[in-house]
Amino acid sequence: MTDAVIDTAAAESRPVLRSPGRMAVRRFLRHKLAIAGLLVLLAVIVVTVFAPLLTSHDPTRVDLSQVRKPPNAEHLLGTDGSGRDVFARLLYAGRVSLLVGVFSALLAVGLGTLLGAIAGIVGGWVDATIMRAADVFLSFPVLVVMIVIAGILGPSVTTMVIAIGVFTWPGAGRVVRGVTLSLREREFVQASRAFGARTRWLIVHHVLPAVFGSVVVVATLAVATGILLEASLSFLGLGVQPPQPSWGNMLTDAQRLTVISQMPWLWIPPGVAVAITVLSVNFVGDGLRDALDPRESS
Amino acid sequence: MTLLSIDDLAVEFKTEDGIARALDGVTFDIGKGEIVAIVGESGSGKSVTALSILGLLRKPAARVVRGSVRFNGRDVLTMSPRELRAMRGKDAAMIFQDPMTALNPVHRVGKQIAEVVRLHNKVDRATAFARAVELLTLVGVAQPGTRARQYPHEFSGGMRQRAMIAMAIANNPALLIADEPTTALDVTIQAQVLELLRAAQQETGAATILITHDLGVVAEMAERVLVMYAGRIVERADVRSLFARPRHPYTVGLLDSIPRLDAETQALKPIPGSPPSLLAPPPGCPFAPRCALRRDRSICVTERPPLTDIGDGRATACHFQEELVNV
Repeated sequence: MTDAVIDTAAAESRPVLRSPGRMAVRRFLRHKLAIAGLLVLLAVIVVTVFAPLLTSHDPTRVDLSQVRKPPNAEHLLGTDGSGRDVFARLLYAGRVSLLVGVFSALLAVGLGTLLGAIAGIVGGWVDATIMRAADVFLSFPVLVVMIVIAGILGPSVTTMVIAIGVFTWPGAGRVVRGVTLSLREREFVQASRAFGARTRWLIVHHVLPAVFGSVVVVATLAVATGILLEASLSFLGLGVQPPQPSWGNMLTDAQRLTVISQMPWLWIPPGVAVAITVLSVNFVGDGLRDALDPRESS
Repeated sequence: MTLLSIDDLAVEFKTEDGIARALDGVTFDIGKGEIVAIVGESGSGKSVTALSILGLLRKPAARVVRGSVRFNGRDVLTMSPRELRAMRGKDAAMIFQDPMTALNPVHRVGKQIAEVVRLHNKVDRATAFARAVELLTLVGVAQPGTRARQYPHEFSGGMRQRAMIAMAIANNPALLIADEPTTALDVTIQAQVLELLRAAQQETGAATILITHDLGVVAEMAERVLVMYAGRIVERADVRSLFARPRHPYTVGLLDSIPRLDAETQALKPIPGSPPSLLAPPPGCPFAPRCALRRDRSICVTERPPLTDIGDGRATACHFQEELVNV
């Protein structure tokens, strides 16, 4: 082809590369609460991951000579009813809580994204079936269902992750379907079809990048939900089983009034840990929403 | 050699208010390497015709009532989804009207062009991307290597349309369909894009269907013209004859409503009235209510004039076309 059609204006200016990703990072960094949340969250992750370096105590070692001792130089946060070190338990418990939160969120968001995208782009009876299924899952009281599941399958971390994931996918599913529906009518999706793309291609190349922002936000919030559900289930004795520590089952001790009034070292640390972690995750989620989806920000 | 042959194609759309007959007995052929323009106002069925060729009519809203669309001898309307996908973008490719919306804002332009290559060729990403850069060079984008790594919002309208054309010619299609390729562009860019389309057409030897309502574009590009009105072809002619001696009153009206710099009259002559509703088409000629030639003759509202050959490869759908011979 000829040189005559070359865009002369463009030849002179030196174009700058500016990606949507970099702009999102800049917006996130402006969000102070989110930064604070992120720092706290990182701190929580670091202390739980490096727990063995921060305490020499074994979180599961029973010492009946040291039962329910208040905080002292040897046991920074005292000991529990079986003489186990509360500080060590707190750190190791964080691992379980965060793992359950993260993996149940990944499962929920993975399922939700896949089903939501398929529902949105295929439409018709496929859409109707998936969304009615979502309604059914949403109308179960999650906690009660999980108590039943834990009762039938026996309580374990894996069961809990799967149960939380399977029962919280409709949140992500609805968000993704909504974005997909509006996307389906966009001309670039039509153009892609006109160039021979199939449904799977459309989902991978157009839907996933478009829903990425919303999905990340839903995922962070799902992590918070997961941590809370883990705590609730373990508190009820249906989640993580002692002697393995989790923030939820550490709180089980607080069911007794004497513990609440006279042994605050047994329940304040895990309670605060859950609250701080969930709060930070939610702040990060808010920050991500503002950064990745500028239209949603207030 | 005939590349595309549409025969008696009728398409209906289900709407809130009832069934709209978007196409009603459209028939035409397109030879290999030929440039044909389809002209008509909004709602005349130009774009529906284009979508039918690629099998892109959205079911169940759209329904093909009768007719066939044969591309390379095979009926597009009976192809399986797999066969359709194999055809789209490879044998027949479409250039969309608005390059602002036809590119995905979240992907780099080069990647989007490379995707069209990868849809139809088993090549890795790097090879496809190299081909994309090559295609951008071909459509006259300066600094194609850098440009390929940019996002659509960093491109001007004209450059985006160049990128769209690059996507369309990526797999050397036998048929290019350009749906109002210049409508969304500035006048100064329009000429460049038309020039590029012509160059792309010569480069690939693809037959080209140019859908437009701009008769200036038609005169510049096309060899043959199909004039559509209310879902039908009302006149078919080579471009010179059409402009010199239109044989359908609607074409006459279209030509009269072009602004001219050389004519003495100052005011434009618009066609009075508006196109008929496609929901309840009148039994006679759809153009009758707006026709200057009708002069209250009743056959125009009772009987539909068929598209009739009038020699020299021309055809028109008017009961009184011979009255236009010496106008």
